[in-house]
Amino acid sequence: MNYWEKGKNQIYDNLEFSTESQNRIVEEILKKGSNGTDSLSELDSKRVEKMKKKEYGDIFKKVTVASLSLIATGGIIAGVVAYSNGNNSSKKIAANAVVESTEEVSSDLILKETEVEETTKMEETTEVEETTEVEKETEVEETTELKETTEVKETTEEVVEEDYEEGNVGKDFYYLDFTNTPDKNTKVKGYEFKYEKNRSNNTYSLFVRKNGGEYKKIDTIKSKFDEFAFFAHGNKLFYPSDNGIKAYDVKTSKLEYVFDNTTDASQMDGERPWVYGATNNYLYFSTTSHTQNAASTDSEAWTGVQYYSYAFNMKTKKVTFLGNREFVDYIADDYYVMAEVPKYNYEDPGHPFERPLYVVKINGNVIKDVKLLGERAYCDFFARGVRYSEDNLHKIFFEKFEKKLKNGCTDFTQSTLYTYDIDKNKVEKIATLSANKFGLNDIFIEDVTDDYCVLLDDDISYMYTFATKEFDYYD
Amino acid sequence: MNNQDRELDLKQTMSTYGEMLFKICFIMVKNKYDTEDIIQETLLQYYVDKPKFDSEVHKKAWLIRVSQNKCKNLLKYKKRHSYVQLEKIEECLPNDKIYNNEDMEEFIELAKLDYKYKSVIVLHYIENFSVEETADMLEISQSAVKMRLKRGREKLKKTYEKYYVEEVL
Repeated sequence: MNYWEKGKNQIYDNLEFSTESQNRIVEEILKKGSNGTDSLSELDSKRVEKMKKKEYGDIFKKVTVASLSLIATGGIIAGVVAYSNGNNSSKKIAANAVVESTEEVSSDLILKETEVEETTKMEETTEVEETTEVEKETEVEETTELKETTEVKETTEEVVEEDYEEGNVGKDFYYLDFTNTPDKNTKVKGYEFKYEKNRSNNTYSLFVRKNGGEYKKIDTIKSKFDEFAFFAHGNKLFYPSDNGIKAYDVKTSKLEYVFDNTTDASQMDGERPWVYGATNNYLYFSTTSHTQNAASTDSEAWTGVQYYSYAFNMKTKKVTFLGNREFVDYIADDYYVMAEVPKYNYEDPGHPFERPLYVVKINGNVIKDVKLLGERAYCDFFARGVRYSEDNLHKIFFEKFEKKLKNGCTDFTQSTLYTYDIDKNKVEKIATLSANKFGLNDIFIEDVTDDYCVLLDDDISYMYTFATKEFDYYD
Repeated sequence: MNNQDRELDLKQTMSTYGEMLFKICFIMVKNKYDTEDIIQETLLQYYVDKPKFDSEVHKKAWLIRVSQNKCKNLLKYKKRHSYVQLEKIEECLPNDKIYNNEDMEEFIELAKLDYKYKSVIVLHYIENFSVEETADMLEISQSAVKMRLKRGREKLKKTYEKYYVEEVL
């Protein structure tokens, strides 16, 4: 009998928070609270002091400094590893030669990677009703002054750290997911965007500045979710707002709704349209639906999932169905990863983890399959999006689970990591990882870089270095 | 709200939500003292920031969200380990009761899980929040909640299987 079967546990239910402790805490708060917000930092300082006493203080400081300095380039992981390698070399685990040679690609595997014909187009998209424009971005004029839009005002907040991401340099399109990095700034075509969150009223403010000038407020967004994906294409920044998708033109400072949840979404099946990409003319959406026990919102009651994807023409307001697939992530240029609901058995009825993944190229509302990455594949590691090669932003990582259990479900004890390069349309194998050889329960890749991947198992993270085949603890 | 009203409101908030926060946070940080620190910081933030709420449900979700962020921060700075001391749990249980061993084992195994898994399991399966509410409070997507529930269940199942096989052998 487990939690998910009986929904209760005696120990949990009987945990006691004594009245004495409650009263003491309330008194402390009243005392501290009278000192205003300074008391919060005082508490933080107290914690740091406490940790120093526990001899964790040094680690904390180093990791914090590393985080602040490296986060903009996504180098935090490499930084901590470098620190770890330099200071904790004694922690190496002798697990060399546990990964199979990258040359050992089975014939079965090769068959799975057979290229999808370049000319294949999805049936639903053959009916193109208008001339598809191939959007070419006009360069943003450096001299263009930003005009104030709705409620434009300068921020009084000092920008302490120039912590921004450059995005895909030279690309028309830039995608930024603020889910895990709500305080970061981003820079697109010389414009820097800043995003601030006000937890007390669940609003988010978006600011822009140019050439290091002062920030100007673009908009205040009210949402209960942190899941904001911002898309920059040409001069426009697209983002989800209260009732749909808004576009902000950096050149003209024009702010407008380009998609209306209440009217435009009615042309779509499934729930909660979720935007995955944008061009000057089109937004790309996915929705999902579940066969669900009406009396329950529990994911256990979901017996099936279906995906739907659409191209939305912002000028004509027309929706084109792209197929029963879900956008997984944007890669670069016009390339996206899309997923299908597996035809084989999968363990989670609400949302499969590993799925048939395709690389597709989209031009307007025409979609073309470019590559089948795998039938049991995964590429948005730990739900944080695709990982790119540091040297080549057209190359992404993905993993394939190539074994199945007797019941048809995927066997997670073995996974093979690959890269896919959109320019060469080529898949390359990196390594096959086996849980048995590492002494793990299964292979769950949390993150991957050109040099190593991070595996998570039973609360402990491990690092596997491709070149040396070393398996090590990962701090 | 004057100072007297704020004080009364703080006491009522502690009385209404203190125990729930204690249980949820205890299983995350695994000891009474850190749990009490987190509750103190959460309610101090509540007292100082004076957030406005549409409803009690909104207020409850805010308190859980803030306390969970503090749990995450604390765990981030602590050395990762999965060891759970039995005496730290017993310290928070009434002395006059006898507890089911199976429940204690379950509790320990859940407490040993990585934060990302146990947080969704506690909120969804034990505190009975929906997937959407859990996603909202933990500030992650619903897909991430479902994936973590799945992975968390798998991990717990493997632990049970291992435990019972070893017991039989």
